Amino acid sequence: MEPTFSYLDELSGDNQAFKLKIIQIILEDLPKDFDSYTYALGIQNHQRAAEFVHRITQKIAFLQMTESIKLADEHEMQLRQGDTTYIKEFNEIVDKILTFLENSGSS
Amino acid sequence: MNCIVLDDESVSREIISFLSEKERDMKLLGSFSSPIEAFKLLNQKEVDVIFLDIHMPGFSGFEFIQTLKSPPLIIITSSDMERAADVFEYESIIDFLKKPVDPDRFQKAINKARRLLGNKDKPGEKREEHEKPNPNHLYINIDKKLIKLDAQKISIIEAKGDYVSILGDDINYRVHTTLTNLIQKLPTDLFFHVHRSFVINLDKIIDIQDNTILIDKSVIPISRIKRLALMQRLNLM
Repeated sequence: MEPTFSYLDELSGDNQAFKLKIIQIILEDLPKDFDSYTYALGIQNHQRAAEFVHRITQKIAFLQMTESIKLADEHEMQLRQGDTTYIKEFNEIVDKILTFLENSGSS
Repeated sequence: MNCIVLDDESVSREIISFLSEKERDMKLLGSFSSPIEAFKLLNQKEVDVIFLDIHMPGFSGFEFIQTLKSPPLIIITSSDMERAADVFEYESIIDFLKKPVDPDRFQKAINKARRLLGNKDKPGEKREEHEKPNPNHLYINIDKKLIKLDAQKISIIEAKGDYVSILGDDINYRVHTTLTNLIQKLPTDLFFHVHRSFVINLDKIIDIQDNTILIDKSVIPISRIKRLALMQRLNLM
């Protein structure tokens, strides 16, 4: 499922400055959260990694990616049990969001 | 209507702030990512409504509520619908907004807060206040017998599965209830929820060291966030 700005558009109305502000915050925060998630995975701290997946999932939700949210939720739950099955799929979602935002949002 | 936001997610804070600013009678006093700053403001100013996230690093929104002596109205904001049922454990929670927050649902939650705040000083409510049972006494049901307890004499209440143990001066009872239910029957100025499984009588504290509290002869654990809240309740030199 592709990301969209439908939620942000409805929320912002005519206030484009607010929409851009939100996009900018996600662009700043998401790579940091993802770095922290990757670090936690690297040191086998799956609980911590799950916390960052939870944070990232909220950002996915702003972009109305329903199927991706389900996968991220599943990934978070699995990580809490030490299961890293969905790492690749989750990484792809984050990449997709960052590419979408960089190409369309803050310019 | 004075409100604050407590959420570790900056986008969520921005969105609640944005929606609040559209309401003419709402004043956003602060937007916080950590409970420490929120505590400071709550000690200084009168807050009517808190928009509160559930999942935050190192603590939960529910733990935050338990540290408040007199919680204002709480509107939970969370993407975790599995915790939605937990809100019924807290009288102060008036609504649950699923993230990302829908502007229409936000409006409904605010209207509910307006109604409740509008009613709080009406004479009928005050009369109801007088009719409330005396919180200094508590009746527990043991073997089909109602036993009267003096709240002042209770030292420690510990959750143990489906039961709670009530311990104190000549008191040692095991009651089939939850800690959350029991807390609501106790005087809020005397008791403090120090840990997920423990409530203590503040008058019974002997000493506090690091993350433990000595009460009578028992050492009770206290979490970092609860310790901070406890410090604000104590008469420190």
